[in-house]
Amino acid sequence: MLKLRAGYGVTGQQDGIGDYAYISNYFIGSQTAQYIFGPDTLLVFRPSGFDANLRWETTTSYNIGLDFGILKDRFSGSVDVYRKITTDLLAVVPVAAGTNFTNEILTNVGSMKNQGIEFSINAGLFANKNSRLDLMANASHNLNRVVKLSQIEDPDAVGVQVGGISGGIGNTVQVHRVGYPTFSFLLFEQLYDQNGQVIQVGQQANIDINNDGQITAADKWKDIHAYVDRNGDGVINIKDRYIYNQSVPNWFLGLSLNYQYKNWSFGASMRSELGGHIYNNIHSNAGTFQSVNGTQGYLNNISSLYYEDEIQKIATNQLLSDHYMEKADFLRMDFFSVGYNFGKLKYFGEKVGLNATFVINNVFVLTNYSGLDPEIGGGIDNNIYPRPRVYSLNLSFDF
Amino acid sequence: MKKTIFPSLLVVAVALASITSCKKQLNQTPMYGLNAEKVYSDPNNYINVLAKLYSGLSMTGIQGPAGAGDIAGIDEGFSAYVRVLWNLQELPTDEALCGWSDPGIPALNKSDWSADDGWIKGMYYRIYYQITLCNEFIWQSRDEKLAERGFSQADVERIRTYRNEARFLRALSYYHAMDLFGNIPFVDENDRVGAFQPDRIDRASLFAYIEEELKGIEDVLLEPGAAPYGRATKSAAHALLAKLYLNAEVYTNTARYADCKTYCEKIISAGAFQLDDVYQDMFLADNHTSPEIIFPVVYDGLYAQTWGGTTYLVCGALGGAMNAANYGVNGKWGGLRVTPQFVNKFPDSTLDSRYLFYRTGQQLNFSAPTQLAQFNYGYAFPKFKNKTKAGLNGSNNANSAHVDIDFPMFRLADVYLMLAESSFRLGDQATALQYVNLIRTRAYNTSAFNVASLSLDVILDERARELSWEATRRTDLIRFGKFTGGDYVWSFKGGEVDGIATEAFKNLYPIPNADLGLNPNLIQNPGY
Repeated sequence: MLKLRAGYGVTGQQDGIGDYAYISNYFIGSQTAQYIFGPDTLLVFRPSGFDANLRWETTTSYNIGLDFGILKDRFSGSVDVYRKITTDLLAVVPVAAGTNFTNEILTNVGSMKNQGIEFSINAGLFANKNSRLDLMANASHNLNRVVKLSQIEDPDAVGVQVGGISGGIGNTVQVHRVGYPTFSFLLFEQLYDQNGQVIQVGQQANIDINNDGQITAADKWKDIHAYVDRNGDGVINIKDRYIYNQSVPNWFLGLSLNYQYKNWSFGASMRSELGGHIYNNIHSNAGTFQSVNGTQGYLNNISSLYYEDEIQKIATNQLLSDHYMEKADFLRMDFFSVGYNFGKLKYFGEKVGLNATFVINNVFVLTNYSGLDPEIGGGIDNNIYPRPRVYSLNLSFDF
Repeated sequence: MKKTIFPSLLVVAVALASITSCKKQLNQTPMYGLNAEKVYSDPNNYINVLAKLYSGLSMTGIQGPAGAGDIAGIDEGFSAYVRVLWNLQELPTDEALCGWSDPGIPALNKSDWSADDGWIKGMYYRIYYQITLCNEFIWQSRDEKLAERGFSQADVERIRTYRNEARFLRALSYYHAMDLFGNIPFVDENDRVGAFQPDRIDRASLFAYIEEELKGIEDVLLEPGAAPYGRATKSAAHALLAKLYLNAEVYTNTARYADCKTYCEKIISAGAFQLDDVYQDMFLADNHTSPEIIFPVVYDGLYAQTWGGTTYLVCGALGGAMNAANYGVNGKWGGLRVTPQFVNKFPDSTLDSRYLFYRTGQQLNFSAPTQLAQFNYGYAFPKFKNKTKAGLNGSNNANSAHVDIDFPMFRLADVYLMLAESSFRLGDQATALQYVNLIRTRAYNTSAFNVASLSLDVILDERARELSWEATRRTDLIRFGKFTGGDYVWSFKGGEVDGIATEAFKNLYPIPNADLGLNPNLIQNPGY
């Protein structure tokens, strides 16, 4: 059996767009945020930021697929090739000072394309009177690129900065730039001293920085020592930040198995995502002396970097370093189950059936990522709650 | 089949008909809520928008004390105008140290900030938030708009005054931007909200713009004395002009002391303000009754609550052995103290009513870097106090951190000292002495401590004693060439316990890197 499919569609997406976000709305302040002119206490009216040209994000998608089945569909599967063009891409972005009633706004920033291929296969590997084994596997590869930025024509421009992080004010670590994946990381390339330690801006240096012939407390690392001056102009600024890598994975793999033997059944499913990267905001923001000391003499949560003797002395300076980047590749077993069907129970006069299943959700995850969970939307990890592993025993009676 | 075809054709027909019929109304405005069109169609609403422009100086958002902030990406309490301005003007000077290790605070104490520093960004975005809101109000209330809306002549007159006050507030923020950042993006009411990149304006051109704006409104603002307390009057514009001229050499390389003198004299001859009898009364919960304050930023423990502003100046300065209830609040934040160099500017110590230090359990001097973070090193300075003149609690009854104290942005003593300094620099010793001694007589409650001769250093020290913690110190030190360099050092200047020289480029703060990335018209200040 062979089947050829083709598809075309246009879909809109308006997540995050507030009511009437294209006009200047005014909101009335609370009783406790008034202003006082002489004898009069006055409520305040505040305009909210707006984008007069705000519109839906639109995705046009095309795909061609081939379905196949052989040996009476004992082996079946499909191959799909797709291309999606998204225009008026929505993103929350910082705005240039003086141009809006806010410093960050949701707006349409440009267009992107996604193209890729998907395979899936279902196979009955064997089946006989007492047992059967079924396998389902899928794999897909996605290529994501920004193709146009509506407000930025200059090809040398930084791009649209997105991906706000915790720590400091309005710091972003990602960018939409033409020719690169959306939400690519844009960071400084960290330099390390001879002991492999991060060079920290503002900290005591072990070389003669101020050229006075001696190494004293006045010799402190400057940002030019801490980061690679990629354009060689002698200063470290946004032009020295480089596209580190993409945040979203480009390979998605899945596998599930079902095995039955007489009254027993076993099932498992696994998933893997490859090619994504994570900025570990827990490390960058909480791996500081400020976290250890607290601000008022009590201790705060800190990152595990503390155990590695790698703690930032000045909290704000290294946030934009690629030092905190990690690969997000993982293999996770989402699900494992064992079941036994007891059939009709004699005790209940053969009127009641029992099926018992023991299930583990989130069985394991294999990853080199140092944070709690490599699977985070957006690529910026501020997660402090581990994903639960759930054990459950299900007993189902039928009457 | 036929049965299903006809209804669906009908649906399509109805749908097509409705699409064409509502086409003209696709650009709907909401039936509920407030939008610009609705707000500005009612002449009674203008004062509420004006109130927001003023409260941009005091509140952090529209939900007191916090919850709906104006500035995204910063702790809301940190984003208060007066708080960030105060930190940038006081922490890098001899007048204040803060023991907290919040990002950027130690860097301000040590003159070690970067173009990614959160407090610098906080000030920058707060200033531009204020300017953008003022621009909108000025545009919406320009004469042709008011005529279009058919308001009565009385309403038009009233709204015109509001518009001039908005121009004052915008000039004030541009003044702060010019003083702190120098060469910055420029937008006025003709730049409408949208995606564009504002042009850069250099410091001297911005000076000329602010001067022209203030001169354009100085005669049409409300009369001091006749205006409700809290509103910007002619004298507020004159005080800002005087400040502009006093520092003109720093901003434009051309001194304008004669102009400074002229504007100080205008304020004095208006006769609406007098020196308060008691120095500390100007920093108490009922300081709105002080005859000395020319332009306040207003706070209230019940109706205008924030974690920034004077709450920060009261609670931040409490710690150690102090009892918060004695200062009319319920918490000690244990952060702010002063350097020994500042304390030593009071040779007559307790005879001077401005010597408001708290010394019990506090060490005057610093001997180790870690002592910056320890509250008991450095004298505490509870100059701002949420008690009334009569010694009663403020409206919060000492049960919260939210205080009634207004922040004196401009007051008469500052005008006297500006007049004294510009007279002195112009060679008129007699006038200079007269006004310095008026201040000293009030401070000591006797003329016995009046000075007989003056020097620039004496004037600078008098400003430190009189205007301590009023967000003017950095500007003053820069004018006297002592903010950077090694001429005058104090504890933790340049990061050393005893202080070391700093580089001259730090007289200007950097343009935040974030905005440099968004606006290619901008150029970073030299040195950063």
